[in-house]
Formats: sequence, C-alpha cells, structure tokens
Amino acid sequence: MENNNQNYSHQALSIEKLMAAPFIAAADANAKMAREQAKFLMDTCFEQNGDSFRPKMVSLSMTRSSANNGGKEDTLQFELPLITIIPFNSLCITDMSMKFDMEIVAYTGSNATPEKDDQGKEKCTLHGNISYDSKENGAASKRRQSKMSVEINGGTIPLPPGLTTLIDFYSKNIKTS
Amino acid sequence: MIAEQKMACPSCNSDIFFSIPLLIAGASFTCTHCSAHVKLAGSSAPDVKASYDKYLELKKNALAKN
Repeated sequence: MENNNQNYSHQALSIEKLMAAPFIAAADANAKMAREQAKFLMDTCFEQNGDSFRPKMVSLSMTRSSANNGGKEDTLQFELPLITIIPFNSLCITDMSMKFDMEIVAYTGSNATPEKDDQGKEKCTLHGNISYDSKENGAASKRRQSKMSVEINGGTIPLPPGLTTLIDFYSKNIKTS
Repeated sequence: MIAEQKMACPSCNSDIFFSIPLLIAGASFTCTHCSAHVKLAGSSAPDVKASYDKYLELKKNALAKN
C-alpha cells in the first residue's frame, strides 16, 4: 500500500501548486494580452522616429456657420491623433473559477516527527492528484481522466491612468489649422 | 451596439459624440453646443478603417483565447 502511495506521490503536487496553476496561467494570459495591446498601440497609433514616437494624425473637416461671413458656412481642416478616436479598452480575464476533486496520495509531516513552520506551528503538506469525476462510470479509465474544470470570462476594464491621461491631453488640444 | 465616443469640438471645446464605424462610413457629427459638423476627411478614412479593423481583430482574438 505504501509503495503504491509512493508511486503516486511522484506524480503528485502540493495543494498550493495545484490551486495556483490555473491562476498563474490566467495571469500569464493577461500579461500576454497587455503586451499585444501595447504593441498594437505603438505600431498602429504612433510613428517611430529614432528614439521618439510621434502620434499618427488623421484629418477631419469641420463645417460651421460664421457670423463674420454673413452666415455662410466655413469649412476648416483639423487633425487629431488616431489614438483619440480608436475606442481602446483594456482586454483581460475579468473573472475565473475552478473546480476539482483532489485525491490525497501523500503528505509530509507526521505525529512522530512533526515539521514546524516559522511560527512554531506543526506543518503538514498534502500532496495529491486531481481526481476523476465521481459522477462518471468506468473504474478502469478513472485515473486517466482526472478533471479540473476552470471557467474564465474575458472582458474589458478601464484603461491604465497613464494612457487615459495621454488621450485626454491629446483630446483637449485639438486645434483647427 | 455602437459605442459612443466623444471628441472636443475644435471650435468651442464642447463634446462631439461620434461612433467610429459611422465616422469611417462618412457620417458627420454635430457639436452639442455650437452645432459645428465634423467628418473624417476622405484621405484619412482608409487609414482609420485599417487601424479600427486591426483593433477589432485583436479584440476578437483576445476574447476567443479566453
């Protein structure tokens, strides 16, 4: 029996690692999305000139009635940075939940030789595998079908304050030429 | 649903609400205060459309990966 446990314990992870894995994956996914958005922003909305970046500008026309012109309409051209009209949002994983059954296959620490943590409390670390779905039939395939269900939802969150400030700065400095 | 955005009116600095798909399509938008009309210049429309399409693609891919 003990040998079997030892065999499984080679494949087992601590509870902390099992629970952390999906969260680490989600954090990595968020970081990757942030990098892709930053790259898009720099590639699409800015032009590099040596070490500096200039915003790409787009041209618009404005038509208004002018009292100085006897009520006739004037048409003026003006430019504004592309970044101010693309509706940016920060894309990310907004919430996540996970569910799994865990089969405890080993533990470290025992009554005979208790390990102690920094505060002197007895420490016991459980090791396990993600267990099969208990609702499913078929004992032979159960161990090969360990399941962890992770549900994630993507969405948008407000832009970082730095980018918001930049867009706000550009937006408030639109001038006609 | 088309999300509304706003820009500052170059004439009076009030808000001009617009939607980028309609702006690209050539629609003009009116200032809430001075009634000035703004529209995208024809020369800039292809660039804005390309950038917007790229942004939508990025958004679609990001959400699909989730």
